[in-house]
Amino acid sequence: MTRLARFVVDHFLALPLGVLVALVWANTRGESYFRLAGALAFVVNNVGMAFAFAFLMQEVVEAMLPGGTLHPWRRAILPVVAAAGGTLGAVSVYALYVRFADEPVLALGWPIACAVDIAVGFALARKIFRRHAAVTFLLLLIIASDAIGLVLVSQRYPVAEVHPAALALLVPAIGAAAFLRRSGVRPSLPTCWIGGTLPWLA
Amino acid sequence: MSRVFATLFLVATLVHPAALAGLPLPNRPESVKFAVIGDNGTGDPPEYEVATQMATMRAAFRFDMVIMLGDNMYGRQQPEDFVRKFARPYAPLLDAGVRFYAALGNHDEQTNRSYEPFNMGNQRYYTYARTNVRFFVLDSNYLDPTQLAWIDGALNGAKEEWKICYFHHPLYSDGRRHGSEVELRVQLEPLFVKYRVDVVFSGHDHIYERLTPQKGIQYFVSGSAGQLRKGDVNRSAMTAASFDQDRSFMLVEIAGAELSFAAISRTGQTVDRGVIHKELTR
Repeated sequence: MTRLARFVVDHFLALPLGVLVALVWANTRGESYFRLAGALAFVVNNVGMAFAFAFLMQEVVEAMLPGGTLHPWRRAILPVVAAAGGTLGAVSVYALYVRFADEPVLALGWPIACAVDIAVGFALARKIFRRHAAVTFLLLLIIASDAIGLVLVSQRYPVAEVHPAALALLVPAIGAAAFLRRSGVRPSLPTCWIGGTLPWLA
Repeated sequence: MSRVFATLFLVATLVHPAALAGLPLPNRPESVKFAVIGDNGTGDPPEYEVATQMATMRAAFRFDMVIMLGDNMYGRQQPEDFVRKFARPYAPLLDAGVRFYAALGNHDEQTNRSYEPFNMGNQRYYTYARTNVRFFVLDSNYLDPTQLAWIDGALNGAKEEWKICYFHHPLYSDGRRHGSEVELRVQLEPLFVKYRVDVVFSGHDHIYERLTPQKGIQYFVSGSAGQLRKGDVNRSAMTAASFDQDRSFMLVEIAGAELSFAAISRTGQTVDRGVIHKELTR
């Protein structure tokens, strides 16, 4: 890896640089930008984001294990409660803005006020706090906010049919992951396929 | 003999109602005639003045429908607002039996689609036809996959000679405030080209603009029937004509292979006019 690439990775610069490039591109050659964004939507949203979520969840799960910064559960519940309060506040501000700005069409989008960009939040937190416990606290808070938003969207404005029974797929996935761990298999791409595909489908 | 014909032609021209009214359109009997308004629902005096000008024009040019390009209602949208911002200003037209067909804009409550005089049939997007013209009304606030699939099927199934689409956000616009909605364009334009849509009307930018044809399609921005953003047109290579000094609306007439249009200002001045020809398939 070149020194520049390492610098970019070490300082979490890939995301802000990507945002900057996307902003300039969308505002200068919008048609090609949106065409590419449309073509890559599935790969980015359903594959790339699945890996990003998996990576971030690993941080949270490890923090909730004995010895972790979010252990025991009473500690973990705090960011979840904070997320509930945070979403309530964000939705109220959003509703006020929609009313003030006379944009009723945006009123339908109130659940979006619950959403926090996990990747940006994580990058910022790591930049500021390094390996401090605040990072996992913030991560869990963000994930809880997004989960609240997702539940609200799926209930009020479903874009696809919801199949709660599909969550049952998590059982064999967790079973497979536990079996692989007990068998001493080291995490690799094939183990990701076994443990990751079923939750992805769910 | 030729002098007789010339005299007859002159007399016929002079007594033609269109000529009497100084109309910029052919005003043929049996043609499809309609008016176009966008971003109108302010309830302020200019909206009323535009509406009065439309009623005046209708005395000579008997359009029986008005297409609304969205932002049909600004601010509060209680029953009394529907009177002040729609029913009262357009009362002369409504009383004469003129039907309005609305598209939703970003200032419109989604529930307005059930307001009967908007003739939306409680739908966000819908289609209807007049003789050889089919209109497709979209909700550009939220172009979800279902709506995209619907417009694909509706355009594919249309048998009429003319296909006209209208919705609020413009795919092409030289308005400084908003400009072209490129993300929307990437999704809709391929369908418009594929199914040979002839004309697209939009509002959102509070100006009048006629674009040079883009991929064979004629685009209009007509978003100043109530609101106005003076001096907002940033002319570019794709500007064919524009007007941003006063409120305006459009009159359109379709007869056979010819679509005539005129943009009329609040004071009755014709600020743009022209004819679009198309090759009929039969």
